[in-house]
Amino acid sequence: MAFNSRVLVPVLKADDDEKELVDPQAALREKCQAKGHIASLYNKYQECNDRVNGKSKTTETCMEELFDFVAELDHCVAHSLFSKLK
Amino acid sequence: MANKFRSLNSKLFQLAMSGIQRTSVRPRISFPGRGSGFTGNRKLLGALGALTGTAGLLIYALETSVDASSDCVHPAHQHWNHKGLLSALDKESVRRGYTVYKEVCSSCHSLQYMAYRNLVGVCMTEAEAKAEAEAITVRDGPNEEGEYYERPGKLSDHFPSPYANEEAARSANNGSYPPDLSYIVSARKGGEDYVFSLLTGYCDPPAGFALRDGLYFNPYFSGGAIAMGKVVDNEVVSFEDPNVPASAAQIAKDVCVFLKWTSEPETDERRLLLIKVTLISTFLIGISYYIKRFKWSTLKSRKIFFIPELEAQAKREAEEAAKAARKAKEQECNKCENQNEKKD
Repeated sequence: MAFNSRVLVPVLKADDDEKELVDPQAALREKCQAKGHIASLYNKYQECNDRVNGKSKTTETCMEELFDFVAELDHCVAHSLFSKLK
Repeated sequence: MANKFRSLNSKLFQLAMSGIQRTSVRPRISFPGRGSGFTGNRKLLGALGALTGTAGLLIYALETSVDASSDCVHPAHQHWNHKGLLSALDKESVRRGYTVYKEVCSSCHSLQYMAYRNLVGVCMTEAEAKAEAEAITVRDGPNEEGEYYERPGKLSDHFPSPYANEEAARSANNGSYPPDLSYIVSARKGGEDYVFSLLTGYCDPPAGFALRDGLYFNPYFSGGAIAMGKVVDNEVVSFEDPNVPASAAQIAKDVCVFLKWTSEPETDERRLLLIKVTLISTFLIGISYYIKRFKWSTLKSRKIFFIPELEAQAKREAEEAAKAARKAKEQECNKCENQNEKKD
């Protein structure tokens, strides 16, 4: 997923009952990315990334594919995100 | 698009022509002089209407296509609490947003048009606002010796700015200027949706995009390269309320509501005023309507008739009345003459 740019490092906590805080937006993004049309947009974006990274003398960018993917993803997230926030 | 536009234009023109033809069915013999003028005006109005509609549709189509070709992602519409005609700002969210601004945003962004007194009665009590104000140091003066001095802040002081001027801000941020956040929600297209998406929309740049050093990628920013890094993350701020989990989305939402409040502090007052004006105007308009109907009832219930038989009958009665009056007058004259003869 494009938004998971950081690698999670396990942290030892003194209190075992304390749960790791889950961002509802990140959870909804993972859930929405599994949908059909958004998954196809993501695959198209990845194809473009592979194609552009495979060539050395191209002026092509994958900005448009990323824009389409991000717009659809966040539009899907926006349906129920604020109902999960205080 | 062009074909649809042309066909739509022709349809509009056909509608206008059919309207003109329908009016031309009327017989013109009764109005020999005015008929041609009336028909000409109608044709002209039809053509003008068609042209205006076509121009409006063209402008709308161009605006939509221009909007679709921007260099950033359009933010998604979120379900804010304060959206709606009878909704108010969430003041608890404004309070949390102030905390986020103080601990996260104020290191780069100023809020020069907001004072600590503006917080009183909105998301803080006066004592709390005074405590917040006294936490800052303000350069004041000159005193009676002509010297400037530092003093603790008070309610009338504005929020402190992190930089003395724009040049200092640009120098500290590789040429980029962190804008003042006082009216940022009103200043940006999309408002709080844009600010929320910007704060939570950081991701890796796509392939082929050359990102300069010191810049970060955000698809919601115009051009994609933004000098502000990702500052909103889980638990970067600890809220006073333990029941509110400080997730990234919650922090972004609260700071957006706070900035919405700084952009339009009087929104809630205006909405209350709208409710009052609507209720009172409805009542007064009702009364005015009744009074108008009452005053005009005699004139509006008047009826004017033209019946030839009645007219003839009225004329006949008038003549008879005139004759009777004339006879009565002659009799009176005779009486007077009789009286004169008796006297002689």
